Amino acid sequence: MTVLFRPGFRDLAAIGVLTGRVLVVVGLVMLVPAALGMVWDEHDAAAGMAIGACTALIPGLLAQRYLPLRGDVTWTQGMVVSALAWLVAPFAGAVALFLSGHYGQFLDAYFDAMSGFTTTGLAVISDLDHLPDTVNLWRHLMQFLGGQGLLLTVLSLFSGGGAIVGMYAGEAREDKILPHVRRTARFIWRASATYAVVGITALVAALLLAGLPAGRAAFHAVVLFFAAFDTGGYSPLSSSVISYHSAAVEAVLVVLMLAGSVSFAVHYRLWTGQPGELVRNLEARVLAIVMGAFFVFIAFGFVADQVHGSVVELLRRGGFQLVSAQTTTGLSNVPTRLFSTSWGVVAPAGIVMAMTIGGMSGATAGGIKALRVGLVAKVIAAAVRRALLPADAEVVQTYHHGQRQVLRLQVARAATVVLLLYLALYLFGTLVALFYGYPLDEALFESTASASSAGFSIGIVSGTMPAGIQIAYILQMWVARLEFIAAFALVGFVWSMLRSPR
Amino acid sequence: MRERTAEEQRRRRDPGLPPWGAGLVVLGGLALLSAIVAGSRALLVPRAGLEVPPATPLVECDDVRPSADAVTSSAQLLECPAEFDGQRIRFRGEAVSHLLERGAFTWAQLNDDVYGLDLGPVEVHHQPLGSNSSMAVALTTDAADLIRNLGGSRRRGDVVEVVGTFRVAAALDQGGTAIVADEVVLLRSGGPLDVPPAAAQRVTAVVLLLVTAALALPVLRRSRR
Repeated sequence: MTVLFRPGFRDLAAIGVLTGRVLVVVGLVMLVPAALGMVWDEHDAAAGMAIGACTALIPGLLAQRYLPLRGDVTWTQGMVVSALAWLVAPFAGAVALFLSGHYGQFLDAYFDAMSGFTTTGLAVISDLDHLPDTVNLWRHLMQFLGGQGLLLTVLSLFSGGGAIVGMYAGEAREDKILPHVRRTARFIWRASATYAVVGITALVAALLLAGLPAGRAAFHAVVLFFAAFDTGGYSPLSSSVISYHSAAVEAVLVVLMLAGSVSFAVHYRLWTGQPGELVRNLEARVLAIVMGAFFVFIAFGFVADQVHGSVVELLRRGGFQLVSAQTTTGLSNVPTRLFSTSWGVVAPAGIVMAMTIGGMSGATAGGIKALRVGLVAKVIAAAVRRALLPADAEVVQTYHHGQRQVLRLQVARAATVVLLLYLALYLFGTLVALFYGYPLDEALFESTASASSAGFSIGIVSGTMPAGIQIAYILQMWVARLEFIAAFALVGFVWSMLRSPR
Repeated sequence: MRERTAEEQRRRRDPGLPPWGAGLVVLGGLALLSAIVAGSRALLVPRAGLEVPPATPLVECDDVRPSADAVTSSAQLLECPAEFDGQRIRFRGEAVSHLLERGAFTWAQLNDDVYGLDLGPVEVHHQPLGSNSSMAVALTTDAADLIRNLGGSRRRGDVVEVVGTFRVAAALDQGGTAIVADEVVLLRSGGPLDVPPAAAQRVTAVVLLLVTAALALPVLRRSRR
């Protein structure tokens, strides 16, 4: 008999303490732009940031002080904390955004905060081009925190608790690169820091070459690094990457986007001198195949619709947009409205398919993930082989993901279920936008961009979009970031709290 | 008799909140969030209530007649790119962020939104009125010298009017969308903005930081033990 236990005070206390730790981390990070705002003479922006930081720190500290955490923390509690953390952290982040005065409603600020933390990159901010650097830095730090993983950050800083594995998995991270989750977390930070030093240096050089003054080049390099490596897609200017007019800047961003969409497990193998993993890994192969196919798609579309005439333009515009879509970053070197009004049908379809699949699992990218696509493809291949071989033949399908593994029924089923859930999520957002009267192509594009955390917009996402669509996209971003399970755990937890006793 | 699991034994000691207790927790959480939102709204600098000029309606692409006599908006250019591609147009906007000198020509980003052309940045009037709209413009470097002020935080950029050729895929930019301008006129000079301080936010920030510090000290002491 299966028994659903009603959560007790101890459950709520444990969840409160652990969620409070997430808030403490978010609050501490917010103090960084607050301090810099004082240095940059943006005192009002610094004040708003400090208020936002305290909004997170005060409840977080109260929880640490007054809520008991006794005994082992359960898997369920860890999952619920994951889901709750990804709701409350954007709330705290939204306070600082809202106080900047660049948002009409608090819901708009919450939308942008959720978009930042989930590394989606959709934005409804008003007048970004006149935004104080303090607030702009916070927008990009949210991507950094979210891309690295809110819970991962907490696990790196706080000790104790059996919730570690539950929280880590609830954040849709299944790769245990090293035997202990905390050591895995520290490797991820070390690798990210290395990429940060190299990436920011390269970006500074490219931006200086492009003609930016030194101070602006440094600021833009830092925030663009967060946007590209954490595949977030926010940019410091409303014109995204267009305003730099620099192939060098775009080249560095392409490398960073690809690095961000590669799983940290693969990074570990590269780090420890096993470059062959990049060739043997199922996800790397899937990504190489789909990107090649989508590039041909885009090239065909460009030629058929007479969008870009030369190979250089195809590589620079089509190539950059494809990488940005496949890695679900969302940075753009063309006005995205042109996807609908100038790129025809074929090339945008390639972009949509790239966003739908996304990057590798265990990376900062979104989408269905190359691993699931590869596993489902192998399931289909196995079914075809089974049909062609004698009835008593045994078909064993294997794949390489860190090591050679047999494709078991449980793994195949999990991959298929999550793939179907993603498709349902894309459909949900599409239906909501259709309900509000948007055309099908725009509704599908925007919903896919939201749920896959790609962040391209061809016009629906704006300061004037209906609240119903905003709420739908917020839910999409939240559920997709958690890859469903933790979100379902939270819903089930709240239901079991509120149900009447029998 | 079935042995009780460790979880079931734990549940006997802590049977769970009654539904009303659980409801209180949920409502209490929602009340806290609502209070934070209300407090944030109270701290916002009041909006100036300026009248927003009506947006120029977009012309259907079939009815577009590109001309350098009337000002064309970036929205219109992006809505009907094929109709404007290679055509001579007039464009007006605020120069923002940076100018990128590339030898004989210089790249500028001109914003033709309500902040750039009409009301000024949000920091002046505190009315969020939607996102920026802009177009990349290639100027001769001599013409770019007209632009002395660039829009940004607490700065209003120069507003210029350019006449030039719109390109959906400009060869000059390896396929980037841009206006290649050959005439530039300075319409309005920009400069730094005098923005009154948001006193309520500053005072609230100081008070909350003191409260946070008071809460943090015992927690830090406990964690060190």
